[in-house]
Amino acid sequence: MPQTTMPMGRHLAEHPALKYLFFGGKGGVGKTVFAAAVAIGLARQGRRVLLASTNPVHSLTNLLGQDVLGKHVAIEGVPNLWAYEIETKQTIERSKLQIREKIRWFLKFADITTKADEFVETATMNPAFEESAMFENMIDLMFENAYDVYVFDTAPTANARRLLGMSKVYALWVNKMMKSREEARTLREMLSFTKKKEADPLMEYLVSFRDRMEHARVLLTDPKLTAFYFVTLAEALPIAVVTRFIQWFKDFGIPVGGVLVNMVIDPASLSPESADFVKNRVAMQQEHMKTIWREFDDNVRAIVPLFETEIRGVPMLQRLCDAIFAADGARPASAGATSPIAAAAA
Amino acid sequence: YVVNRVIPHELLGQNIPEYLRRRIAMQDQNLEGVRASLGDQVLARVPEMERDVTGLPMIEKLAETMFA
Repeated sequence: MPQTTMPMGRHLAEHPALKYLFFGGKGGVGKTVFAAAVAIGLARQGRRVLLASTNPVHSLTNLLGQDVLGKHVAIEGVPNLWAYEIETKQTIERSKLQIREKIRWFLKFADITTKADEFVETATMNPAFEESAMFENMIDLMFENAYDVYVFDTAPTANARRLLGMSKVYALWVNKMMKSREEARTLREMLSFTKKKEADPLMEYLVSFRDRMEHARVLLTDPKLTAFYFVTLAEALPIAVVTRFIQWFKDFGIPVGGVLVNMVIDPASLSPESADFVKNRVAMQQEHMKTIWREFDDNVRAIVPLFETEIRGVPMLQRLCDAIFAADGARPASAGATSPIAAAAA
Repeated sequence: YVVNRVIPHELLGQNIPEYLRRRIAMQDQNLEGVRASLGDQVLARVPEMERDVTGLPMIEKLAETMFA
């Protein structure tokens, strides 16, 4: 039976400077609970941790039993841990105002007498707008640097990758925009009577935007600071998603921290009399575990048992935290004398 | 609404691990919550299958549980 050669606890100990931890994976695999449990583990080490949700469908408030929407809230029962669900509504409203101002200024600059509002609607009604608002909020948190560690519960699907990959794309188009702004400005100056150089708020915005994106890219691609963890079940579809994500992340140069497997039933808990349903599920999971070991190998950080209830509230999260950090890598990842299922059911 | 991955109640009569019994109990509570808040808007309850749903035969099986 394969083993976790580098379990989560040791992996984190060997990356002491890690500051930005991201949790992703297919919907419903347990990203939020794993992000919360690892955040608890880091807070236990005495580090000041912010657990932040960038998932538009937030679940932290529900999971923790404390309202954390739009504000940093200290989590009861866990010293050094704060939680925060990023609220995009305010950001979107603020961005709309800023964009309106910029478009007005631009229309004036170009002597176009059209109302800015239509442009603002087109610019802000598309779904990517919320995504980029979320991204901006996220990097603002990172730049603020008010905590020792940030643990992000990310959106389930490709958004997470796009959010992070965006910094690269932004830089490309901002440079292009800047080039055409520069051309427009030079032409305007040539045509102007006074030859006086005017301030260009759009250009200033583009420059500061590009610098922010570059700063974000530097942080997000530094393997000492950043790691992206994937949560999966021992099932075909979540594994396929993780495999694809890992490839994308490699292409973007974003460091992958490893894979955590959730809800695994310990084969040792079976007996010949066990119900077929359970036997079949265990057989199915063990089949998929083979794929997991083959695909992720040394990147498997934890194999976590199926608990007897859903994970909700700080006490359950602490148990999950123990399960994630329990493995020392010396014993088989599943089965064995200290059966995780037996421990979980006790 | 469709409720997905409901562990079948029949299992309670079989030899299953204790944690699974507790999961079914937890699920009963949550299903009661679903019934209370959504009532007859729940169009189907789909059982947790013995294996994950991939491939046409499993999708057909899933469809049967919804249209039963």
